[in-house]
Amino acid sequence: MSDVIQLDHLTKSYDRFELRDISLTIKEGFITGLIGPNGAGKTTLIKMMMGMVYPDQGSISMFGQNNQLSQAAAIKERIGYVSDESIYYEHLTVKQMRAIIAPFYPRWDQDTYMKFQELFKLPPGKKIKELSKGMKIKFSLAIALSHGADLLIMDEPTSGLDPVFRREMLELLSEHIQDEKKSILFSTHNTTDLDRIADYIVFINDGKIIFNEMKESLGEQYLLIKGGKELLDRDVRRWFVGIRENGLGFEGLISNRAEGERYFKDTAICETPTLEEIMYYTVKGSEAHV
Amino acid sequence: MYSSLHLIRKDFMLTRKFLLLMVPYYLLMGYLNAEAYTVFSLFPALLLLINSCTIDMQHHNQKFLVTLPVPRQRLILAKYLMLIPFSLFSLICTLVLYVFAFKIGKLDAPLRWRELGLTTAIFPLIASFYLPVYYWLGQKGMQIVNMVFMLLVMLNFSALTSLSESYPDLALWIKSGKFDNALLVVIGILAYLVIIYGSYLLSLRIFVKKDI
Repeated sequence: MSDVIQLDHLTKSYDRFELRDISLTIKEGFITGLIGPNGAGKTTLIKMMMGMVYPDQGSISMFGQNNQLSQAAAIKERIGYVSDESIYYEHLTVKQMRAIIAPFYPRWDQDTYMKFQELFKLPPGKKIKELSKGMKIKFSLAIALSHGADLLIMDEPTSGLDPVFRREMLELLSEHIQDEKKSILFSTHNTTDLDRIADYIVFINDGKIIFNEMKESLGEQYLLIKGGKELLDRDVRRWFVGIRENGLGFEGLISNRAEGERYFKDTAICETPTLEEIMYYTVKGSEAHV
Repeated sequence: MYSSLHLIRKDFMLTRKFLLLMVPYYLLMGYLNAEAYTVFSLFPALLLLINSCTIDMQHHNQKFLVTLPVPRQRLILAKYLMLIPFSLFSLICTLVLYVFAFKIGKLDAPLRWRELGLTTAIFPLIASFYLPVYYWLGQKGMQIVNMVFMLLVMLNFSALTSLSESYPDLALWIKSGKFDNALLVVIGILAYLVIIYGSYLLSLRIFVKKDI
């Protein structure tokens, strides 16, 4: 199993934000979800992979090649990019925009594009600016899937989509990944999407990677505890990644499931947390009291 | 190299509507001031360049460009190569205007082709100053820069006249085609090429490592 993306000690500083020493690998043949709250650094990380933003330090390898200027074009031929912002020329029609993009990709497949145009009900004569946000995402997706990309990089692709198409899109991505040479990196803060389809989860918060794990292994690692406040003392509180208290009791996340089960099994409710709960309690940390 | 052609094609597709606007422009200008036809080879070319650059800058479109499988160097090169078709477009339109005005008797003098050539050649020179500023400023401040460059172009005609006055050799060449000082011509051509190439290198330096 090879790595389709390898980030090595990346740093990037802005006035009010910093990506700190990011090292990360994305496996070929899987769907990897990139999660984190707004402003955590997901989009900056993706922009670095796409060559829009340059790291201050560190290196990026894609498909085993260093993503330097000389190789960037060959690498990008193999990447389909879907952004949550409309990056296309707004005054052009869908057809004109397609006509601009297609010649840049040697593996462009017009039949595939037409199939997706029909499936997504994309009106070829309509201007990009007249499309809804969901339709713009569909157009981006149709483009990304029509040039034989080995890697799809998607930045918040499900935002602005209706629930029906959202499900359809997730199914489409699951089908796409059946070819084991294809990989998908999918950033979102809607973790229910990833609960459905992701194989790996990368969690980024405040410019740092919190974890990069198989989704299944998170359930073996984390435990959500719900119980009465009398169970909490100063030492017990330290076990929690994050904790939320109210008048009735507490709810908290523990990152050592075995230890949590041993201690709380008979006195509290122990559940496997969802991705959203892991994200919520990790972000809030020990300051998650309400 | 094909990607440069695709990028040039892209610029023509983006400015297609603007190209159509050139028809009434040439008709109007030909009607109002046909005598000054030589300057019409400069205005539209610059308008087209500004238009294509502005469109590339709007609505995150530069992000689209850098996601294409094209090195950033090629994006810059294509913009500079684009100066040739824009110049040719303006030159051809001006020639058509001249022929038309000549046929209907609005113009009776022979074509001032040297003056026309010189005016056309000024466009890449102006673009050499415009493009690095465009890549440097990005979306911020572009409107101001566009206005400044448009004003510069409007002043161009009088500048050309005063240039001819300051350099009698140049005036002589425009009128008669005679030019005594060959060295000056060579220096002038070299300086012209150096400015354009220097501008290209400067744009590369600004844009290649710029965060979009």
